Amino acid sequence: MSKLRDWLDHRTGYRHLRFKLIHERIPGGPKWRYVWGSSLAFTFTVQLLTGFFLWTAYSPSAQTAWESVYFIQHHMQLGWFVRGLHHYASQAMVVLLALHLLQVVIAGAYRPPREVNWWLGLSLMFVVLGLALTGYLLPWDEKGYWATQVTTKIIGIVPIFGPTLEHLLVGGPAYGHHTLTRFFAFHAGLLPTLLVLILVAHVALFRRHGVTHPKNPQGETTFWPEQALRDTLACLGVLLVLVGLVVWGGSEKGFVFGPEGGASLQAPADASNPYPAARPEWYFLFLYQFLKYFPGETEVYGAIVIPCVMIGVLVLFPFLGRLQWGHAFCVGMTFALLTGVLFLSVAAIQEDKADFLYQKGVADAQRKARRAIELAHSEGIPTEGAVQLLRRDPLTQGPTLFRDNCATCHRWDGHDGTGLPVVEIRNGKKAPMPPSASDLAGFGRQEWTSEFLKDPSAARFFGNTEHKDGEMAEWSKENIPLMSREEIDAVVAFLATQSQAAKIPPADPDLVLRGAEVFAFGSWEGAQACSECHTLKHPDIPMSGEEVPAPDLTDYASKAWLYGMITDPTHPEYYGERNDRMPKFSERLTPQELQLLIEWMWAEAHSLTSYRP
Amino acid sequence: MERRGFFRKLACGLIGAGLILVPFGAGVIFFLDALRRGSRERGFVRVAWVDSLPVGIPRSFTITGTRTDAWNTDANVPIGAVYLLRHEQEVEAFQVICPHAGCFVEYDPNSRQFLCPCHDSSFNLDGSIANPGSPSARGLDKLEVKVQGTDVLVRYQEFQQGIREKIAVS
Repeated sequence: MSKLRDWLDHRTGYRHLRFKLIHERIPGGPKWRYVWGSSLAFTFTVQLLTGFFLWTAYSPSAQTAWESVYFIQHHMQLGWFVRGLHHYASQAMVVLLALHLLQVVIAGAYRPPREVNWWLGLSLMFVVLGLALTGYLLPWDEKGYWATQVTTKIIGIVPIFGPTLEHLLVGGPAYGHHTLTRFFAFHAGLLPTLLVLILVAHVALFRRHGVTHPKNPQGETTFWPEQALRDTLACLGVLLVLVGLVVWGGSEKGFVFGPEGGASLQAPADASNPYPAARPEWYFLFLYQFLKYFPGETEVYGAIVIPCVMIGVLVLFPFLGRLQWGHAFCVGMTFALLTGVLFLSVAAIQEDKADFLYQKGVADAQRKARRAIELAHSEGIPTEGAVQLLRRDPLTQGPTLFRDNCATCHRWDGHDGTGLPVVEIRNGKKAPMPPSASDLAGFGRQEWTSEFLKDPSAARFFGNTEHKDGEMAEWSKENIPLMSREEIDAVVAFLATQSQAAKIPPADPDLVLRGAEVFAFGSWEGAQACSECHTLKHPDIPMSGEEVPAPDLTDYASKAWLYGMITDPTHPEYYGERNDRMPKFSERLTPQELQLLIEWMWAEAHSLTSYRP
Repeated sequence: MERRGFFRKLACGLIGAGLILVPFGAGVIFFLDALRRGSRERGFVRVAWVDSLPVGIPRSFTITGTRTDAWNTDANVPIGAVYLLRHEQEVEAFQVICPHAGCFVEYDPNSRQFLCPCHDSSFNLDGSIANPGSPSARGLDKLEVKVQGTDVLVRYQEFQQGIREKIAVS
């Protein structure tokens, strides 16, 4: 063995190299404050390792990026852990960079003869930020997609070359396959290579000049093992924090050792859907906040000019540091910059906390992400991509269809279907828009029908329509007092069975039968029968064959009934000529849209939260 | 002092190894995930009408089924192909993949043999190796086939290539 080592040393000189590496002199002895560079190098190694393994399973295209990340996270063994490590290590690199930079500035290690190493360090910082930025887009989820749009738009406002640069970076006029292939090529190819090359030069120059030790160092030691042990323990600390973040930080549930933990994955990106929760990753929040102070065409100052001036000042630190009070200026400037970053970041977080639309956007995004994953689990992902699962999903599309087509007149539990109030601009001011038709939340459920029978003229039902004082309202006023509670409950239970909802409370067959009797023949006390105005095809209910003035209630509130009612309320089986203002939606919506809307109304009314048609 | 230095070096080595082992080990386990993903057992699928098959002349047919490829699940898509050869009383089915190195074999009506374009293997109509210098270790893989009424049904499978034994891999 020793002969083999001798042979290898003779051919490569590895012993000398090893000696040089581990026996670096450290005047003043080992220090904890020297550990940041090593921690950073270790974190980068974690990124290289986890990045390589993720690369073996990631597929960069608009139809496969989210899908492959979903598969990594939820199906591959320890995929969530590897991805989580990669995600949190990228953030750790930003933190460690800031600490390393601070330590270098405080120690004055940017001053001659270390100017070049300072510039190399700054270059490393930009490469790391570039890696973070390009990596954020790769899952192609809503968060990364919309946040990166902001970044590329900022590049687009660079004077003269901006639009061309943006076009080149995006790989075309809009985000698509080539945006991903380009970002991935930067993220996994160019930037890591640059980082390794700069890091090698950085470490080589660091070795050339040695550590920046105190002015009068007491004693001297070597890197191995004194400083090495401190560095190793610091790296261990970093790793433990990373693992902690992976198992505790990724979920609201606390400790999770499984796919629900690790890095989050939002719903697949969809350019046709707005995303009010779009924000950059926390370490770019300061820039996002900063831009708010530069409206309109002044944005270029906030996004380009001022950051470039700041970077220019950092570049000039080695020269500024030589001046009298120069070092104090550089230290002060660094602290001022970091304080500014901290202040802006906190301001952004505070403003978001008070922003209802943002908070709702976050909640909606989380719900959509859970739904996307639920659908991918249960149905598998088609080759057109997971976004199609959501586009075909009633629970995802229904609220928007209701908002866009129904909420001008109707409400859903007082809102527009998506959870927002319906407003209009009157006299130049935003004001709540009063409903002019019934509130359809819970339509077909026993509670809804029961309340309706007791008071059809209520604002929630016919109160804002032509039917407010119609025959149904009159019937209710005159006949409900003649019905016992049991008879009302029986009619309600009977009508509820028509909706064919799977989750209605199991009906008492005797009560339902009694309901059918009351519907057909009226109550004991002489209440007028429902069948005098309504028809309902049922074996226990005789059909007179005469034309009746009110809607047919066969399968009342079922999907088929809703389809008929919504497509053509003027059909004789529904309101016929008595229809108020309800349009024929067969002329406004496609059959697919109608189906999505109806499936959602039906499922939501019956609280079927994980419903699939 | 000597002992203290030794333990420091030992601690450095052990912790350092652990530091790399966590991301690397997790990555290796992640990479080995592919070994967990076996193919699923397929039943018989209808491939052709028996009366559409000429007697004595093999014809290739596409097999459709549900394909699961990592995250994608697609129903009714092409998953492979087979040669069907009708005899007077029965129908035989052969896998179109050459058992040597996986190329798609073609039927040559002149020689009445299956020819592999990659390494010049040739196979007789009963699937046996035709050329003595064939690099293939076995003949064409026969598939289970049955005729139900007018339908020809095949149990589609793929087999490990390059070995003498016929071992199903899907």
